[in-house]
Amino acid sequence: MKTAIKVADVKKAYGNTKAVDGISLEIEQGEFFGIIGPNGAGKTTLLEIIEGLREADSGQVELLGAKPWPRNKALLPRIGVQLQASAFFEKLTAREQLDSFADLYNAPRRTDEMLELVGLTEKAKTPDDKLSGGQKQRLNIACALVHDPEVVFLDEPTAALDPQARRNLWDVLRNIQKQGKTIVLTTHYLDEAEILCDRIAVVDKGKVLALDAPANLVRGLEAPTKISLPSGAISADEANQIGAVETASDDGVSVTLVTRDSAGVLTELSNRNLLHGISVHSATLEDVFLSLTGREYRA
Amino acid sequence: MKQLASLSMAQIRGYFRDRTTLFFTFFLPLIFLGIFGLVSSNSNVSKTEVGIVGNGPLISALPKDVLKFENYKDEATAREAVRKGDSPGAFIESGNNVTLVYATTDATSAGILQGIATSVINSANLQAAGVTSPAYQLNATAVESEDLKPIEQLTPGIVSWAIATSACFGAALTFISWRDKQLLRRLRLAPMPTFTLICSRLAVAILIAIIQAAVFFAIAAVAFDFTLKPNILLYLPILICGVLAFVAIGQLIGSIAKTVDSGSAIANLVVLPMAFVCGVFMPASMFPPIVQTIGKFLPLYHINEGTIDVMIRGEGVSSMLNACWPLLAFALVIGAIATKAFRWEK
Repeated sequence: MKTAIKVADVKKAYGNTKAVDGISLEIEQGEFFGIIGPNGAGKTTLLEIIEGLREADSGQVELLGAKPWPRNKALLPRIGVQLQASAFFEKLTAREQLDSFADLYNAPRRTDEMLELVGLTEKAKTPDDKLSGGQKQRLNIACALVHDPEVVFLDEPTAALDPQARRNLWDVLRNIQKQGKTIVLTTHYLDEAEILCDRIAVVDKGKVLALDAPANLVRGLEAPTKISLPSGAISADEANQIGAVETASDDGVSVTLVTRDSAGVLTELSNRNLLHGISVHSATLEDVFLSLTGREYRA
Repeated sequence: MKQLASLSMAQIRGYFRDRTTLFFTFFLPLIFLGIFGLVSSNSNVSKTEVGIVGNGPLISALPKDVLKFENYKDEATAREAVRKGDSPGAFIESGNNVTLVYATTDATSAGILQGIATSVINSANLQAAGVTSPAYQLNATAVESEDLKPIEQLTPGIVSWAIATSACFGAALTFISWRDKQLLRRLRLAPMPTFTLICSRLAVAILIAIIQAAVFFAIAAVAFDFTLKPNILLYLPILICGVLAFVAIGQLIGSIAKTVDSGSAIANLVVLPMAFVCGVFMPASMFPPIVQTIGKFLPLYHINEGTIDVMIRGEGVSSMLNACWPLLAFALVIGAIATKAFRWEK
């Protein structure tokens, strides 16, 4: 695997605010890389420095082996950028937007292919202001892909979308990765990063707090697992008798068992034929964030 | 080339699909042309109104080609009409005397009425004295004047104003709204020179200006009584240089203003007063000399004068060049400042 993006000790401050405070990371070609963190964590600034829209105060950035700043016209056709705002031409249909952007890159028009990829074939003749939020965001992404770039930057593509639209968009993003493109995504939805990304960088206050595959990050926590059963299936006292259970409680709706050996507890419950209606909650990225920063995650 | 064509086409499509812009580009100037045109064609043949009481020899001798009569039954009603401002004055005949009552507010009309009355009475006196060949006589002859009819002055003025407004607003609002919705940023990420962006705006503005000029001149020539002496080859350079100047102004406004609203407010503040100072809606000769001098440094003055010269007066290349040089110089200076002030980001 070759390196697509190399960031070394990049810093950027606005007045007294350190938006990016010494970030280093490397992203492989073909990787789906997530940058997660709450609003104001410095995600967008970092992305803009990598894309070449902003100059870093210090540090090095290499994008596909070249420096993105100052504006590098040879590099631009090789990257695709979806900005936070949907940047469309006024009063143009979805098809016309895609045609225009293809022409701006002197690229062949792949309009039908793009519309199909993002599921907007039926909206080809709809003007941009008549599209729903989710449709706009998908068209925005299609416009970033129309010139067939190698690296795709997506800045909070699912922000302000309803759950259904978010899931539709996830399918689109997975299809893009299947085409062999490197994807860099920022999001403040932890579940989204966990589901989509090969690796993620947890960013807060301009610094990378952790960088690994989501599963590794969660596993590294060694956080206990919560197992819930319908209330009354087993009494709290009885549950406490099971060896691996650390604590057990019944809130009247469900009995919750906390354990670090979920396999052992599940075997024991299975022996007592209590698996009906059971649910298992392992730690999530939210727990990772909590343990890294000592505060609750707030998007 | 493909980039330029694509960017221009995107703007043209957006432009002609936007009803509000179309209204301000085509219909508002047409409404102005209609209103001003009707008002001026009316005043062109206007007679001075006057009230009359009685129909004796003196009243009958009043000239009918310059006066419009309104009959009143007696002196009291005539005085009341003058007092209320319905008539600027009234002649009341009683025997050998004619009384003129006139409103103090309309000195011009009062003067005209007094002059006419005096001459009518003088000739009646001469007649009464039996003088058939007076010692002094006035000979009046008409001369073909260089002066333009109001509508001939007005049409180029409104066309020039409309073109300037569209070019300026179009450039300013496009850049502001594109910056606002990050489209400028997005375009910066395309491998395209900045020059292409400016050129596409110019191309669109020139096209719109040509359509405006064609539509307005055609309608004015059909609707109003005046002869165009159009020389399109001479007019086109003036039009293009004028658009360059106002796109430069628009670009500068677009760089300064942060929102579309403040942008259009600033553009109005620049173009509207300029239109008055440059004598677009009324001849600049009506203004104090200092205002006329200021006008000569503004681009709209030169578009207007150039347009009148080559489209109405039928003048030649030198008049065209006289208009183009100042416009080009203006466009270069403002364009350079605008390029310095240009911002891609909010």
